[in-house]
Amino acid sequence: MTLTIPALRVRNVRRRRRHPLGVCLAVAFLLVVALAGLLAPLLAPHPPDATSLSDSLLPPGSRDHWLGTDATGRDVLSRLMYGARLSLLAPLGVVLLSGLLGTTIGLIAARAGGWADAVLSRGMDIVFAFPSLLLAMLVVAVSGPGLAAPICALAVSYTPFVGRVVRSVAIQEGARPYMESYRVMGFGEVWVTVRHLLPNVLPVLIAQSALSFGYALVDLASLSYLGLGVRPPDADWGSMISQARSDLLQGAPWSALIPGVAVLLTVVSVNVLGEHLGGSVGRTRREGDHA
Amino acid sequence: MTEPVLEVTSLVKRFGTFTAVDDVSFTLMPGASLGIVGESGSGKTTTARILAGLERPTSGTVRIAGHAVTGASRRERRRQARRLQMIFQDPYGSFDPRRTVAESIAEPLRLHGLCSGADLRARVDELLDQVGLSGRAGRSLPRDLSGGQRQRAAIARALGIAPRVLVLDEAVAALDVSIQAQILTLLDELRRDTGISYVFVSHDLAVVRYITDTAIVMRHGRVVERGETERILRSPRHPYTRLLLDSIPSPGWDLDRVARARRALDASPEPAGHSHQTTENTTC
Amino acid sequence: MPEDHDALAIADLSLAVGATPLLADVTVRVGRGETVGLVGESGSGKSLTARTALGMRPRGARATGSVTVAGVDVLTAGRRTLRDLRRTRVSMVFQDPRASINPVRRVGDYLTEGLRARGVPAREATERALDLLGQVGIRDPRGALRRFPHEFSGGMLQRVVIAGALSTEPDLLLADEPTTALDVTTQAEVVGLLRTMQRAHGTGMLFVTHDLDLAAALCDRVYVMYAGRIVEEAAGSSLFAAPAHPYTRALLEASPSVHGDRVAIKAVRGRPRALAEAPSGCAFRDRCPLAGDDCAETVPAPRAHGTSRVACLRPEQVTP
Repeated sequence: MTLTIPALRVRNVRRRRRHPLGVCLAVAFLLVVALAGLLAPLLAPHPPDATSLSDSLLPPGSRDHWLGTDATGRDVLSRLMYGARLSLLAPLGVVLLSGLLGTTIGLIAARAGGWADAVLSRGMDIVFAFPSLLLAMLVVAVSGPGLAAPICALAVSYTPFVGRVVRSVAIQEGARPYMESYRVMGFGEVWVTVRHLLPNVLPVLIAQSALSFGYALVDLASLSYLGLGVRPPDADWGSMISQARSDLLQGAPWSALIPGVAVLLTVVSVNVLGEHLGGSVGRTRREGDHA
Repeated sequence: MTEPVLEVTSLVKRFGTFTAVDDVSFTLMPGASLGIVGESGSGKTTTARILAGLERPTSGTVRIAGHAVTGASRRERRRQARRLQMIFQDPYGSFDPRRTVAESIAEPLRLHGLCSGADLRARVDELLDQVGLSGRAGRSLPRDLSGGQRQRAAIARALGIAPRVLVLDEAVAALDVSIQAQILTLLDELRRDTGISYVFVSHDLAVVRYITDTAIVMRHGRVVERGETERILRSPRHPYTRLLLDSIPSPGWDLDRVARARRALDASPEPAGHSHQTTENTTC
Repeated sequence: MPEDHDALAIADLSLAVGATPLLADVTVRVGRGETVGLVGESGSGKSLTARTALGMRPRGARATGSVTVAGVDVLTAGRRTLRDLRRTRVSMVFQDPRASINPVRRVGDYLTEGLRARGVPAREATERALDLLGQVGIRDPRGALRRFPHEFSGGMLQRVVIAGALSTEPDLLLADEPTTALDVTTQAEVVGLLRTMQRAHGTGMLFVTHDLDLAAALCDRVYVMYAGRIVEEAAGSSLFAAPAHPYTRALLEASPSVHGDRVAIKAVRGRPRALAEAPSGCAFRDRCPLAGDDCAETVPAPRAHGTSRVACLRPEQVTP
């Protein structure tokens, strides 16, 4: 049972919740990774593809190679920084593309209703049922390696996640009286959907996108690991792990572990952030409803 | 002789096999105020929604200021919006939660090409002032306003379009008594100043008495009584109207009589095709 | 238990959460078998007051004063005592019957649950439930026991809730806007039922409502609340004839009526306030037409005026 006391609510709103420590750490980590990738040419101690057989398999903490080197003597830290670029940009592409597709489909399905909704929803169900990684592998098998194809394939297979969330939120929001009042005022359906419905769906969309980002990063790393994503000499974290397979057998785990840990921490950070965004959206929504 | 501003003829609305509105007709003269009284399930809200173009009637016609409402094209809908506006019961839900009140009031003005640029701001301020809201309230989000303030804002938004008819669906039902009185007096003044017509949908006979000249009483989708509001209250002809009046708490309230009357009324459903409608030649 | 206890006695109750005051010096008494109205607008604290009688307070709230239900001090009572109290002595009926009944349980379960918890055998509890459903005017009580809440109309469901509330033969029934969600004609029936049942069982009832007309017509005595304080206490019958507090009069003048001649309504300026936002001294003074400088100095103490008790410095100007 909740007691609604106006005065208390006012205090609650004013005393904005401070972000939890975990979220701050996640944001900080993501910022560091993004900056490292962005400024790699300036900050990286070595070129990412400079081999030096005399320096092969140096352990982390070595002079001149803080995170060690791999079998061909390439600096792990430099490769990690350059790798961050593709490792972050490619999932971003997936998220943007699937966000665009999913939002459009979700909004159309929610607003049109009837058979359009049925067709779009069943379509999404079909794509949903198809394993994303398998779809991406099929596409790559047809089009050959390279990043564009897997990005598109993953975007398509992530679209139902976004589409479903957007559709359900849009249906909920569209049933509010203000949507009707806009119709009474003579506004067109498209205007009301884009100007009023979309902004109110956006927070949920952002939260969902953050989650998709994590999945996309892992999926793309898997593809690279399988040799289906990034082609050498370009490198992302997935291909780094892939190429370090033999190092593991030679008793040098770091060249595989370090990019692996980078993938793990990035995904965890993005998920923590996504969950926080989704949660705070729910909270503001509830507060608004009470007022 | 002046033309009626709203003419509703033989309105019928069916949802599947359920008839929500059954042969409802009325007319409204410019500057007049008509009450639609009924309880839940009476069809009063469905009638209001048909007027606003939110539902299509199964049969029957609605003419606003001489134009038949078809609601077919977007242009037609926009034109209709200039003639008729609606105020909803829940003033919080009727605003985009992410826009300030002033933005929400300005939007229809821009859509209908009534104002632009600097005029727009002046007009919004004028509208806010007209309904007794401060500029500060205009800059607030709907959730930061009280229920009464939001209902004022909703009225300002509707007035901006300068419609001929304003449909108010239980517009004061959710408000505190003292706030309800403020909104009622505001509506009264606005009607006197602008000559706007009201269709006031409510379950509350006392409020209907205050705000309307004529009224229809609806039950199970049908009009059971119509006439001048004062006449209906003083000498109700239909047993249902009498029951409604007896149900209102008052000193010396006879609850047993209410219970008996209601049972009698429930036990004798009106035979189909036969309506208790009092045939009166008054326009209402 | 001695018989001379009031069903409910709230004395000088003040409630605050942190630095935010919610109620101040609230005194409410409900005698055995008496019907008492608690009237106010939103934020007046009327529901909060009623809930304290069940020992339900907002989280972290500090209370001073005393609240006794049938001789049991609720404010100092432990968890166990409170539970027993709620199980046997006090019942509550809420505004929305749909929200207060578990939608996936049958009506029979709802009605017998409370009795079973008191140790009444199953068969006896069912008999009792049947009897109660008959009393609240449900046709075919045996069939009703097997049905689900959604198979009832709002008015019928509220009857079921009332039957449930009275099943434990409580000393006190708290009714928090029990008819606000119902149609006018249904309201009259439910109110009539509440009154009959309450009289038959000798239960004291605290009827919380925003509807002054309803309270005056139904209740023996009425308390009017404003901004967390009681501003007037009067007999239900005299409230309309002789309102003693300017706020009561303002409420009466603001509500349109179907009775008598059509008179203009007078709107009160401003909006109702919660205690935390109220001005110093008399909380109503910023909206009161009679307010003077002296109203700002202290909170007026309740005093007798005619047949009422009123917290106002100049009730003689309200009703001479």
